[in-house]
Amino acid sequence: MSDEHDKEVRGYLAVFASLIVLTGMTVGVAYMNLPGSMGIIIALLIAVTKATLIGAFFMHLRDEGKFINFSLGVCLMLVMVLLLFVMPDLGLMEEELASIKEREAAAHAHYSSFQDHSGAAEGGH
Amino acid sequence: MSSHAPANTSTGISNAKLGIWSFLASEVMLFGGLLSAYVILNTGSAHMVTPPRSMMGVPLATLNTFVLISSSVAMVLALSAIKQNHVDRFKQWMYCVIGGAGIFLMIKSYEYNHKWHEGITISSNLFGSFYYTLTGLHAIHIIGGVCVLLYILYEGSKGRYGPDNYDRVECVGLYWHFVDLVWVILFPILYLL
Repeated sequence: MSDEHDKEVRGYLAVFASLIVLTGMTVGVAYMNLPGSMGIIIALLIAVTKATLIGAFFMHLRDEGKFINFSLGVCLMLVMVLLLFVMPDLGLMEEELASIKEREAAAHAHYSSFQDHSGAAEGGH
Repeated sequence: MSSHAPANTSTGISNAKLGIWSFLASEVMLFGGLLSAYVILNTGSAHMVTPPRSMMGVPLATLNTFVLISSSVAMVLALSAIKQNHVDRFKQWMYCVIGGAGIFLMIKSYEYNHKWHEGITISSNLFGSFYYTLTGLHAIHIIGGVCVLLYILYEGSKGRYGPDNYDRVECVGLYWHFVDLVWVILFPILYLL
């Protein structure tokens, strides 16, 4: 029983050490200023790994039955729906904004050339 | 009833455990909704202007992460001690958990004061609103958790928990680890991205 207890405590301390190392890595990656969205992806992956370690070992989810794990899985899936199902809409919005900006730029160029032309004509008179 | 024997319920899970997990599931949706709204607006809104990292106080937030993770480990060790019927060790670890929560709140209040004077307020812009809503909601969870932890410490000191009766310690532990887990997600999203 005592050996089992000591083993359990050693496991908790190993998870603690891993969490501290991963926290250091998160801060390190943020200050490396990686190109594009690479930094964001790595930081989020590390955060998910840390959350998984806390859930599996400190909250003993790996010892829980299917009922609790399934219920939490449904919850996390719903959070993913909130997050990921809106992303394509953001992409569409970006395209729409880009096309509006293009049309505005073309209209601006058209009107400014017209103004330049009429200004030159007025100057000619 | 022994805490590790399968409960005599239709799910095989004790009512206390089922209750705390249902509560935590609702908490996942509460924080999940706010976090996803922040991430979406941070990606797609021109009104979301995040302050430079130098203004965010990353070293203090990193220290707070360390404090909260340590507090979470102390909680799991307190549960382990009470399972072994080591009441004195349980009390020592509980003092560490509550002390960690106190240090976290002190650092947070210092941070709030500092940010407020630098112009990051709840009404300054979209980022300010999200920052204070998310961290404030988390801080309220910490304060609520400390109240329950103090009660558990008091009950434990009276010898009301032991190897056959640690359901309440386990439930408050699950809540405390969840609060730690939320901070682990909030920290990179608010301070580093």
